[in-house]
Amino acid sequence: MRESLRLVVVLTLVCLIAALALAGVDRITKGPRLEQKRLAHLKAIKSVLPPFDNDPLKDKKEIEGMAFYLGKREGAITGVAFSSKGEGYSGFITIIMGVSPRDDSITGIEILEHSETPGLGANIEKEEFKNQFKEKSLANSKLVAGKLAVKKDKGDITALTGATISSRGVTEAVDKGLKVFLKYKEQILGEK
Amino acid sequence: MSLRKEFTKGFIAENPIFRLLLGMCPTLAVTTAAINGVAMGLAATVVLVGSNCTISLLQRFIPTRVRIPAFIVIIASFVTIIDMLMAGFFYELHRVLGLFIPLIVVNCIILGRAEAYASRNPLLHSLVDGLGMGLGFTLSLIVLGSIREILGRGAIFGFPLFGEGYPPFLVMLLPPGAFIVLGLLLGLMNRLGKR
Repeated sequence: MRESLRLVVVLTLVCLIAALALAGVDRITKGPRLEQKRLAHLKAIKSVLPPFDNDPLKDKKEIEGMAFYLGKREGAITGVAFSSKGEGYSGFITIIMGVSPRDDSITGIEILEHSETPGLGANIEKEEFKNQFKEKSLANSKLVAGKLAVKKDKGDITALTGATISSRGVTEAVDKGLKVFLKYKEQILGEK
Repeated sequence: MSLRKEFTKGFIAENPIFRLLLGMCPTLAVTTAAINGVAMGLAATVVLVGSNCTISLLQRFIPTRVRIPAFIVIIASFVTIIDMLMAGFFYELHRVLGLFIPLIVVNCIILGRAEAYASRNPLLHSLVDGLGMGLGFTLSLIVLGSIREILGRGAIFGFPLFGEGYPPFLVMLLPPGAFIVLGLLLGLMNRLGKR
């Protein structure tokens, strides 16, 4: 009996001290961790929007659980950034994309997360691939069954060699994003 | 054993990857580039040194029957601390290694050293053992990562080696490449060890 009590006490003590240490480190690193996340987020937004002079992280609108970040220049909205998803070769590809409210065309896309094959599908991160989406809109692209599509599917997006499925994933994400933007455009641009 | 021997055994004689074959999951998964090997190895080394020291200090206090859960709590705490510190201060590295940091908890090298060494040796020896084993692990990851990066990308630590014309040997970056390189290195080490 005394022996098993000792086991309980020791294990409880070990866990208690571990919990205290973790709580301490959590507290110390919370500020820097949030700041790093914010910077990374801002950097991604910056890369897909035209130049802005506001803080898009503050000028954001949440609609149906989605966040839309507004880039403004001298008070006028020049672009809206938001994230979108498509299904790649292995799991989802998450992108952030910027859309100009003037003609609903893309100002830029950036890949946030993916688990595509290194050397093949992972090339969706290359500038040549991402840049082709710039200035595309649903109005000025060749749509297949109402959707943006890669050339192999008779659309006009150039897929990466050997990585058609990954390219399709990004195309799907962009297509969905453009549609979401159009659907909520009034709410996004309207005053609060 | 002398301290010097405790330190150097992790590099060749008891190298965790090539001799003990421990910690294969991070070894195979992260070594697509040399820099990942450095980061993963150093993160594991910090955890290993921390857990070895703590466990060595507590060896009289922790009853044998609950040692494994106690070790796991200690190791997991160190890993979580490293994870939070990296997220706060080395964000880019954290992004690359993201998933593999929590996996250090189940890296058998760490529990292995706790059980086989730190729980029955004095503090200084355990610290040196952790450092040696951790650096041996790091070095092995760098070797694997370099070979895969050179062949698969024609680069080392991100610097291109062979110019634009080099056709990348893609399979080296994929899981089969990890097994192939590891297998060949193990064979080589065994051969050298026999002499």
